[in-house]
Amino acid sequence: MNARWIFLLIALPFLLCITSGTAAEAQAVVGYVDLHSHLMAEHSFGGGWFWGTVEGPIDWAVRRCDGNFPGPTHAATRFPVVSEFLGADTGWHLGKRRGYDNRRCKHFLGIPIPGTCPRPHFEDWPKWDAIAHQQMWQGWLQQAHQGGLQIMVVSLAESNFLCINTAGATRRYDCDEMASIQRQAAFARDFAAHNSSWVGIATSPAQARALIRQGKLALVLAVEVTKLFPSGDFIAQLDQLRSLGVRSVQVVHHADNRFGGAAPIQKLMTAAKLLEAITGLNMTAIDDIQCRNGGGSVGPCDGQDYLNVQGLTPEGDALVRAMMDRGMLVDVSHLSRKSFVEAYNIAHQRGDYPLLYSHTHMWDTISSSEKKNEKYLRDEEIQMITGTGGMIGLRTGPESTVPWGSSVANRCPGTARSFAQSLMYAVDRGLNVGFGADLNGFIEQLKPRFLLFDCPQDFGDIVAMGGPNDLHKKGLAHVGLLPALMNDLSAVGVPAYYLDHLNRSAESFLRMWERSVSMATIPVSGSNLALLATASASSTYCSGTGPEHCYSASRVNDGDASTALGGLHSWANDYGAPLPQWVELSWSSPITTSAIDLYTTSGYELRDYDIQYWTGSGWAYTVPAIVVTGNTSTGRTHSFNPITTTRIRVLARLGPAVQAGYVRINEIEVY
Amino acid sequence: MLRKFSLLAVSVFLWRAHSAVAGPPPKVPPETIKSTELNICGDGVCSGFDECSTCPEDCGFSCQPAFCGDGICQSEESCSSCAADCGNCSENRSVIVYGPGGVTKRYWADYAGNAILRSNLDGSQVEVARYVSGPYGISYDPATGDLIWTSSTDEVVQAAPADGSGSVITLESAFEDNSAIVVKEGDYQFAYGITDSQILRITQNRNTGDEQREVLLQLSSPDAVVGLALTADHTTLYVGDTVGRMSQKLSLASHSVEPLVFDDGNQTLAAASPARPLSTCRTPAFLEVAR
Repeated sequence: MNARWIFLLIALPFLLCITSGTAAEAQAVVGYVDLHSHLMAEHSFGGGWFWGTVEGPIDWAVRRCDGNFPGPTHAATRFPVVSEFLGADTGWHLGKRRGYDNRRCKHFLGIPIPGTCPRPHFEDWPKWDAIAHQQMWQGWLQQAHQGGLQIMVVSLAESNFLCINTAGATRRYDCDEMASIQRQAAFARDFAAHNSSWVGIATSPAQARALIRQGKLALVLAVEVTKLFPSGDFIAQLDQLRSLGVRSVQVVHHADNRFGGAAPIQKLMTAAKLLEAITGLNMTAIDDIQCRNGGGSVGPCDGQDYLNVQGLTPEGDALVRAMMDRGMLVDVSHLSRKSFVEAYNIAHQRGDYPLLYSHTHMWDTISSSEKKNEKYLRDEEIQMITGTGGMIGLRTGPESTVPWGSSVANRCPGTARSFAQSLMYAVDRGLNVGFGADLNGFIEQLKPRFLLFDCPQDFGDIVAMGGPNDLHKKGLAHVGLLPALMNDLSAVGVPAYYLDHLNRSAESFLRMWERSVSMATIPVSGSNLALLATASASSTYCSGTGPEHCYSASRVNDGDASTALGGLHSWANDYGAPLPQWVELSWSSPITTSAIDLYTTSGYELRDYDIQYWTGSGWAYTVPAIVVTGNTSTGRTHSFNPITTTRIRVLARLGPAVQAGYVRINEIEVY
Repeated sequence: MLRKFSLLAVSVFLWRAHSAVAGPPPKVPPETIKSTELNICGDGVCSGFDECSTCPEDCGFSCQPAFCGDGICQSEESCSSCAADCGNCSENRSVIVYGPGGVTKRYWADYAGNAILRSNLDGSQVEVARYVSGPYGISYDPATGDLIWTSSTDEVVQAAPADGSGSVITLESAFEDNSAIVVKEGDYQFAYGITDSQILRITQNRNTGDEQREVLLQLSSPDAVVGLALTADHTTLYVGDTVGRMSQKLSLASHSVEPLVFDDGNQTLAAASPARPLSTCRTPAFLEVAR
């Protein structure tokens, strides 16, 4: 049974519910969201931490690694003991180095020569406990999409502290956090362009819905850095991030910063202390966080009694408000409890602006044996998020849990069974829940269930059910196993009600985002208004059934500016329809614009065209008029004096020399 | 049926020729949208873009069907299933050990039988010395009195006293490209591996990252060695030959190299102890028994 079938089986009850609902409900997105994963992690931490790439064929992109022998190539810190402390696949990891194994078996007298035969292709990574090997290869991401993942919030992350402590020889970039974000945003755009047939970057909820309607995975860019906007005008820098397509920003990460207090994480604090002790340098503020109890006494940060005393700074208060002003997704992850409450107070004062907690655990469901921290949501914080209509991404981590209800036996700690307890708890508490997988996040994932000694009953059950899949054997090793996780949640007994909830999580996210946008208080420059328009055309070419064969008008404002050839990318007029032909964008309320970008098809460029706007009684030309002849470019920008209108059309007069009768427009952007 | 097919074929040909030569512009734009079927090598299904050349894991290692008797020993064949192509399982994997009290035995690795077998030199008294997993090549270390063999199935090196005493020890070993073994001792870790036609020891201070590199042995080529194994006392490296059999021992203290004893399959003595020959120069009759 392939992933698509499994997804359909899981989603079937929800689909049936949808089809019997109202027309508005019928347009709801079916599928789930991952609110926090790191697609471009290969370009973070100086570009020298992760082995493997997102793009490329499987046998190259996730090829077998060298385990750092004879010299460090990845996953190496300046001090080997720190690498050993961080993870199993770091430093010298010769025993855990395999990825896709390209070797060919050699024989001698019919017996395979030891050391020449390929091991199972992904024997030791990707694996649940790998923190330095690629988990987001494009084939796996596509597998997740085909299995039900509709939206992924792509966190562009950087840590100067981790970067400067990687082995210098492995670094490709410097460790400037904000420069890294810009670099990763560019790589994310490249990735979307290279894979535009099935993925796109959404900068608005409408664009995300358009992408999903086209059968594509919608990526939403987010930022997670330790020293956010370290100096200068942070509002201008926030707008600069927006111009890169970023729509969600975390105020803090691992350390207190200019804007607020962070939730201290013990393991990272220990690593920071270790490094500072070795070097004698004050390298980071991660280990400077001071926790106090209610009486003011200093103690070890435990997330419960001893908490970070730092809340939002005045600048942090202003930053949160600025994000809300712009209708952005306010990600409160990693905030200290005090900062969180203060962010909530702002949201509440503004009419319960929705808060996003993109990756978290539930305090009350994680076992007391685990080291909890302030990032684990307490019940009162859950109520604050639900009160704002916000949402959480539930971490797919290896932490053990306490049982919640009796639907799922709480054995095999750290596996899908543990995730199930937290999921049911969160949903029963009224939270909107999606995944907060944090893949490529320098962190471990859900453990496997197919373990003879640790999970004997599950081991037997899985054998009886036909044998293990990759999730059973390797845990949540990569993004492509999210559909398998959905299936496994069902297999361990999670009731359909909760699975339906996850299958509605993409829709929940979109509604939260739409509400955020609707609560914006200032006009946001730079938005592509075409995404809010309805497209129509004088005629449409269809060579057959299926979206790839019909060059529909909706392609011109789907948010995908790819100039690739084909019905998945462009509008084209019907065969034989007399020129000129037109495609039109119309808005329900007037818009003001002064620039239009037009993209046509590479190799089949639209040669002659005019762009006109509706005055209310007729079509008119802008000043200066947009009248183009002899065009050979795939993309052109047209600027003009501002106009206010409800309709804009491109009058396409002549196609390319090779097929002059076909006029093709891939995208129209209106600013 | 044939007539119908012929008519259809002719019609298609004529239609295509007409379209290509004289007709109006084709209604269908020239692009073809190809849907990509995601098929991950390793899923156990040989389909999609998997094929034997790109995904032996799913599709097998040979692009030609195995045929016993064609003289090609393919992955589906083995010495036990097709001796005609792959040879006899016991050939070339034997060693003669002169034991205490003049007791002389020939030992050999029976890959198919998952055992180390032994017999008298005349081929009599064939018996299992030890059951082990997929023994591949076997050699003998006169200094320790140990038999040393590689396991083709587990890709490890194992050792045990030839006299039958003691138990099997699995040594720290590595067979892959850039074969390397890592050992941690206190503040230091050591990597023994092969790179640039050299067997290297890299000593790394775990706290400071300081490294020291020593060339332990210069090789004739990067491919001269397949597999390394470190003795339990960390004083010696066993060095595998191109067919993955331990053939030399390298002292980590003196960097000196001594040959191990094995039958090289060419009826010549591969290694000798100072005192007396340890391997015969003829194909013994017992091989007939072993078959």
